[in-house]
Amino acid sequence: MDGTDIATRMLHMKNKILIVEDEFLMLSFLRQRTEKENFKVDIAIDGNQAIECIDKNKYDCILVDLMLPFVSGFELIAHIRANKQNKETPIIVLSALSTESTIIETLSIGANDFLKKPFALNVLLTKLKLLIGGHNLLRTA
Amino acid sequence: MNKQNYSSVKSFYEWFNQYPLFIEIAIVIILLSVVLFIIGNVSLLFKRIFDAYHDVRIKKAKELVTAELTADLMMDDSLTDHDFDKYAIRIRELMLKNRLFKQVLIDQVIFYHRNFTDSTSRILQKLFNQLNLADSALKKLKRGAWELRAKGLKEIQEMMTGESNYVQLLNPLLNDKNNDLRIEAQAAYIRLHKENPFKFLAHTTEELLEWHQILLCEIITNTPNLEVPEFRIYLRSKNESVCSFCIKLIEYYQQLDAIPDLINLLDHPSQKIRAAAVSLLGKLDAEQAERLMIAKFPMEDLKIQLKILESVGEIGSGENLTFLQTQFLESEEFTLVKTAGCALVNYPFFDKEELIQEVNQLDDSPLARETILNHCTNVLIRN
Repeated sequence: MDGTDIATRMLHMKNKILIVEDEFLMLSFLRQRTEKENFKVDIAIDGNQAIECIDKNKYDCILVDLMLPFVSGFELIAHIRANKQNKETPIIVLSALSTESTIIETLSIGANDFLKKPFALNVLLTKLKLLIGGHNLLRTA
Repeated sequence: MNKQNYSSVKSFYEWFNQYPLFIEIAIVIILLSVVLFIIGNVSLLFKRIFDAYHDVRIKKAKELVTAELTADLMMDDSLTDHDFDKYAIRIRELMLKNRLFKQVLIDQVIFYHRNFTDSTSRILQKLFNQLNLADSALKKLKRGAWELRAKGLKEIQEMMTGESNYVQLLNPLLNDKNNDLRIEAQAAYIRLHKENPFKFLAHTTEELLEWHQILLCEIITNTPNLEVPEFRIYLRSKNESVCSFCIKLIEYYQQLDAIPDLINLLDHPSQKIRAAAVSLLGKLDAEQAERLMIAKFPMEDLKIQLKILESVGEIGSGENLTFLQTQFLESEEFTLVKTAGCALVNYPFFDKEELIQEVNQLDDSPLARETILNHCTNVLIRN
């Protein structure tokens, strides 16, 4: 399978993502916006719901807020990395907690990228596509 | 009918009168209690019905606003001015139809504006301006309830950044007795005032509480392109909390020009300010302050003496080795000996062996200075 084939397949493939965010307004907007970009979207409003989704499904990318009820974003990232089917899934952290130590900690426990709130929606979508693209290429290679 | 009523009242009165006084009082109390119980429950029921109805209306308004904003306006990256105007007209019509819609719209616009930058934020700002939602925020400032005024200030802070014309409206609120209102007014002032966002510090008479200072620091560090003044000019403020806040900001922005003013604070009547000034002079490596700090050492209390020792150690000019060694060898207070020991560790020309010899020449000391020095020089222990 050459590079063009992979790219064409990726274009027509619906990538499945999980958005974990405790602010309902944010969650519903991100869901609509990513669905418009042809992603298949699952949502979780707290850490427990997110763990349920992660244990049941395999995702192409997971967007995680750090401040979550019940299970924190840090614990959730650790859980994703320990999960068999999602251990290599790219994780993008979205958070207003953006001190240097927080960013270092999230990246060191396994997140792939960090977006400080407020962020530009187009930047998020681009990162999402790039991370999924890279991840899929690695998987198919 | 009236006659019948009259006779039943009369018969009740006769029945009531046949009892002794204490029974009569008990009957009155029982009747009153029953009536109050019924009134209480009925009013509670009405309140709950009203609240439930209000919640349903709010929920509907929220759904409507979310749909308008997210399904259309914020979703479309290639929105033309003509399309935008059409959306704005539709939203204005909805605002006129439903009174709740306007406040819900403002709340959601602010929420999304706070979470997104770039084109999303620009569209929301444009919508806020086009619908004159600023008027609603400004009207809230004139309302009586402080919660409403604080809400208005929050809206101004988020959506009217850099609009200096409105700063004068904030002036009466900057020294309000209500803590929440005051902090919101000061935060709004910082974000609105382009030329001198900290000018309010000169006129702040109310205390800047610790949590208040933390919030202001967060706003200062998160506001882009903020004009940062020389905070030393506020160190002369009669408001102790303003002075303390400015010392923290001088440290944050590493304003070395403030050193002479910080030295003046060594004579400040407040122990807290003196301690903060000494500590910051150490962090800023203010060699010119060393001599004065050492001169003041004998007159100061223990807390400041400890800060002076730390600062002299931190400055590390090499000129005051004897002072630190004397404190280490002669003090009878454990914390002073330990702090002097820690200050000596990285001090230029410090010779540990020589000091231990001097320690051994001393009479039996209950403070075990050699052990303290070993503790201070142990790199594995954080002092």
